[in-house]
Amino acid sequence: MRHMSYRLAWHSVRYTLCAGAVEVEAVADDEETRSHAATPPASAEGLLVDALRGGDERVFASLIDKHTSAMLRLASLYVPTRAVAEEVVQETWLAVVRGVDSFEERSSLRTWIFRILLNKAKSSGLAERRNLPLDDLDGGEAEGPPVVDPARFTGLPRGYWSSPPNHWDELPEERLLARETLALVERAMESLPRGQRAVFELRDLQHWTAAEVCEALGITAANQRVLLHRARARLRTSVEEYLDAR
Amino acid sequence: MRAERMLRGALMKALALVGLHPWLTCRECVRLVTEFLEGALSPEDRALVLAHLKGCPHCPRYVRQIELAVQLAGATTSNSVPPATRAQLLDAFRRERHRPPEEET
Ligand SMILES: [Zn+2]
Repeated sequence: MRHMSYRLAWHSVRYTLCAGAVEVEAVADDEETRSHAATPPASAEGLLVDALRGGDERVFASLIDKHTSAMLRLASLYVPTRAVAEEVVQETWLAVVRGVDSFEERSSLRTWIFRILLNKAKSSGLAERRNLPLDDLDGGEAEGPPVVDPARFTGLPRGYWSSPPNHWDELPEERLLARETLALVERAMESLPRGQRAVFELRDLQHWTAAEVCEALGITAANQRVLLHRARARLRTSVEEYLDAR
Repeated sequence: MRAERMLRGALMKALALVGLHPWLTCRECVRLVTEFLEGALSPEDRALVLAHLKGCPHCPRYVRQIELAVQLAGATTSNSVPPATRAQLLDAFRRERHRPPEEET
């Protein structure tokens, strides 16, 4: 039903993956520059906001195209049905259109939009009595259990891999991108706890900066890192369990 | 390259065992990996993670697999908007923003 592009950005994977710690460091630095680059300069954002205020439909259309699908996925974490999530997203865009005159540009535009979204999603979740205990989005600061089974680190001396990661990352691209693998990854993402899913969506799928994610979700920097850490590790483990079992 | 890394890793591990060199275990390295990638570690801890990744035959693979899992997740995710929703939103935008200011409450 969905038309997805099943191609990985292999150049960037290779860049990361040609391994060696020096490259790992380069990746880390690259991540930092990318995070900075992801926020448009204040002036560009100002132009965007002015265009919106002036009724520029193309600018609004580009915002819709960029954010609506992520907004739907985030809203779905709080409300019982897809239909309610769609309603929440529609209401959010209306509030954005009506409220853009009072947007104070203290946060980025997208952060502001997603804060509106989450407020609406949470209150409509409450109204639907679906807002179960505010899980890890609020209490995720605690470290929780280790992300990799401690039984895999019983090497000698203690704490070293006794059952190290297998070589599934070297499988051919067709295998990794096979429909079943991707379906598995999708299920694994859907089964993440809400806070992890939200952070993962904004950081790793929408490529927001850590600061923006903290602001949009109302969480601390440390909490954001813990949720991201757990989400990424869970996905890796799911892929590993699936591909190693073949 | 790989042999050199394993040798260096073995040497550091040996030095760490007799307490001559600070050295992370794989378990600690895995625990710190996100903070490392996020640039959230102190310079000392960052250096420890880097040294571990240089010497360990397994942990760099773990980092690669995290990256790869993220890429796979990206490949499953579509950002397309249903055309009907899009049209509705654009209509609403026209109604709201093209109204002269004096009509607003
Ligand atoms: Zn290691």
